[in-house]
Amino acid sequence: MDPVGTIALAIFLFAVVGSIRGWIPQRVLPIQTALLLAAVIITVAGLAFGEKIRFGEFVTATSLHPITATIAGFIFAGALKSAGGFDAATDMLKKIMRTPLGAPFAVMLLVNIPTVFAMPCGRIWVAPLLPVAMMIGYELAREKNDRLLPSMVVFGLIVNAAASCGPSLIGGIGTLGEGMGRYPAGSFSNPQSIAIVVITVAVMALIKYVFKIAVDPVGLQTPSDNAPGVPEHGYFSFILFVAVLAVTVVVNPPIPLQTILVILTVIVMIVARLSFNDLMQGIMLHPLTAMISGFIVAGALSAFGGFAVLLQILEYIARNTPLGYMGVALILIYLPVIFPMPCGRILAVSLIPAALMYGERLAEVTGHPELQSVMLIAFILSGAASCGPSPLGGIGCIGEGNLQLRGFVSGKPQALGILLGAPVAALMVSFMGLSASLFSFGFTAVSLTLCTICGILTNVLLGYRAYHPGGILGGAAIGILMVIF
Amino acid sequence: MFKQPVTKLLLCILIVLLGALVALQKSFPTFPGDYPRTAPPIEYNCAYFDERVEIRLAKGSKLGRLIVFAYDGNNKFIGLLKPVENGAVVVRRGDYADFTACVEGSEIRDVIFLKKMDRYDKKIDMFDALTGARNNNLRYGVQRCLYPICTRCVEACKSVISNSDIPIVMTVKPEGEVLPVFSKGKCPRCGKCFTFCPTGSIVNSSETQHTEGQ
Amino acid sequence: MKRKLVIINTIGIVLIVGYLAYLAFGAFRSGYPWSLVCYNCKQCNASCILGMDPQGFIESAYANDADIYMYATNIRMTLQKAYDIDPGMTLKAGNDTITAREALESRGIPPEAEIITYRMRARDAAKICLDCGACDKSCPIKLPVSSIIRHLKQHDSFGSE
Repeated sequence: MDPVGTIALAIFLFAVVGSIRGWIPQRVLPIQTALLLAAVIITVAGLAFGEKIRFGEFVTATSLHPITATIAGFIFAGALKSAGGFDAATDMLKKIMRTPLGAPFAVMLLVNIPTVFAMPCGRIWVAPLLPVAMMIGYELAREKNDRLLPSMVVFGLIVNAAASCGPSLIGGIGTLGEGMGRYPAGSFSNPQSIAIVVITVAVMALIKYVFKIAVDPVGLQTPSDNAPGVPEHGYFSFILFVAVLAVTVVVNPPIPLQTILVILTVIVMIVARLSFNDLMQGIMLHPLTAMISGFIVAGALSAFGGFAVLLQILEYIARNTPLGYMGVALILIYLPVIFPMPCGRILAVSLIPAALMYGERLAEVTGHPELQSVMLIAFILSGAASCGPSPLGGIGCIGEGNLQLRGFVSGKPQALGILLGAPVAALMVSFMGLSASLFSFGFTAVSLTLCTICGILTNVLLGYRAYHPGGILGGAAIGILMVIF
Repeated sequence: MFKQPVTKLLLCILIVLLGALVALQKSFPTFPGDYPRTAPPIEYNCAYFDERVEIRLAKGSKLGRLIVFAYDGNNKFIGLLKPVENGAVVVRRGDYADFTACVEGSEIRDVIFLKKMDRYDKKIDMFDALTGARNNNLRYGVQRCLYPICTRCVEACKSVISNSDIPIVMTVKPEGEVLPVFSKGKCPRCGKCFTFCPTGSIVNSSETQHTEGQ
Repeated sequence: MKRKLVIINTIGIVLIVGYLAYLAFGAFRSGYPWSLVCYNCKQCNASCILGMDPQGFIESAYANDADIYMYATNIRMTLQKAYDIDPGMTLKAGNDTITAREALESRGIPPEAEIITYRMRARDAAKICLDCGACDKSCPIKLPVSSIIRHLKQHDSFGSE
């Protein structure tokens, strides 16, 4: 094994695990500085061993798309907030909650919107929808007197948004797997979308029954009646946002999403007469800087052979332990969740060749050639969703910050949820194969069934009866929308 | 009216746009307006050995690479992109095909790449495909044109003429190779097709005649 | 947080933001600022018969560095030619990925043997690119990827390298 790569991997693991476990106190070195320092130490170690350093190799590990999408999303969220778009969205959801369909329908709709209109980066949806999810969560918590509900709704939305870059047809991580694996464009979308609904409900259930992430009771004391009225531009802004993103998903125009978001921001600014200062309200620097520092350390790891050493270790385990290739293939599928990066693309790009190789070995051993695509789709979904539980500036950090929770507390339920949901996508591909067609009867039936079951579970999780029509109809509606978009 | 800020802003934008247009004028490419011509097929000799097929070319290739093709019993086009070394293309046992395509009449469609990253989804040994085609009197050979992988000539033509009326038709010849065929009456003589063609399959009609004459 | 730590951490954050600015600056210096727009979706990868990952050219543009290694998994050439182009180029030897130097000097593979490449420098890949334009066509936002390739084919590096 390459000594520099081994040292690089060890330093990286220490920085990540140390930050999560508290060995590196956040009040001394926040995650950004810890990762930056790790990158510097890796570089110094590499230079000490006589390795040549090329700054360009660092840079290639940085995927700019999620960074710029996040910035554009945050700016638009600022505009939406100032224009009253969140108040309008909350008002609309409150109206839905007052109908016989109630809260389960509203929550089912809200947490699954990111996957229905899947964007290439989940942060685009999280930035504007998180305040709405918080408002609904607190509203429900007050109604049901349950401090777990805000976390359930918020992290349900977050894990859904995090994973939604997997099935996105407009440049998501799924397309990365389709491109590198040369599978038909769009064929990875449906199984992932359906599995994400399962992941979402699983995370909500884990928060309620296992991890019990409760919010500060102070937040629950604010009476909801004191909420300000919806400004006249609020509805316009929010409906414009949802409509434009829905049209973007359907039409797939050759315009970058970031540009679309900037144009939307300008329109909202003109209509609601906003200033540039209003836009700044949406900007959150912590997730941005943590994500960039994650990319920097991943660049150092890649430049000094850390990923290559990781693969060698996996190969050694496959050959010399009872785990074999089957066991290591499973480890590989969940590797993005074990080492969650701020963007799933980091590990996906580095490890897709390995996923294809292990998939081929599995296919040879079992005699089932479809296992290669099964393995790849499970790996892609796990990679796409991994930015949710990532402590390195993942989407979960945004939720933790907003709910004023302890750092890294949402990682475990999200990781476990992904663990439970990824096999759903794998099983679907295994039994039904891949389909790039616009409408597939098989996937529609599975989507409708699974999403309705998830709707029933949502009923129970929110404290309603299992057969409440809100969850059932919400699940069914989501099931159909998943296949249509 | 010109004192109003919006008008001033619009005027500024207009001036900038005009300036950009003038600056870009130099970088707009110009094309030699002429009729295109399909380059004559490659002349070659095939020599079969135990573990390799050697295809010796009469002339070199502009790109330094050619597609070696063979048809199977289902009229499927099996292709492999190979480099030309010392005036010959050598296909060895264990050289797996890069892609397959369906041929219906003189049309070629549904290209499937067989390689995923560094491994093959389906291994079709090109040596076996070539010898099989020869033994079963099926079509095989080499071709210069990269269609349907490359469609630069067609795309260039579409930028000038509406889709339904383009003068280039990609055709599968009776010998099995794919070649562009032109309908001169429809051709606007823009010269884009042979300027963009990376393989030398399409050439400027007047230049080639001149060269050939020499 | 103590004052010293505040200063250290602030410097860290400024460096991180500076890194982002450096990428944007690099993209402008290379002459391809639009490279910042790439979705990194690899749809272009699926359409390249040479197994090239055209996104590697985009990465090299925003890194303003034509020596960045990128996937090029289906280029056949003799080992000697690969070695002459770049001894550090990686290629496939069975299930292993080795450099051209290792193949020639350590493994004893004959120089006239035909190899299939795995990763190569963007500048070298550009010279081998067939210029078929399949990457441009497959890009969901229609980025002119091949213009970077043609630039590297002609100039071997970016403007300000």
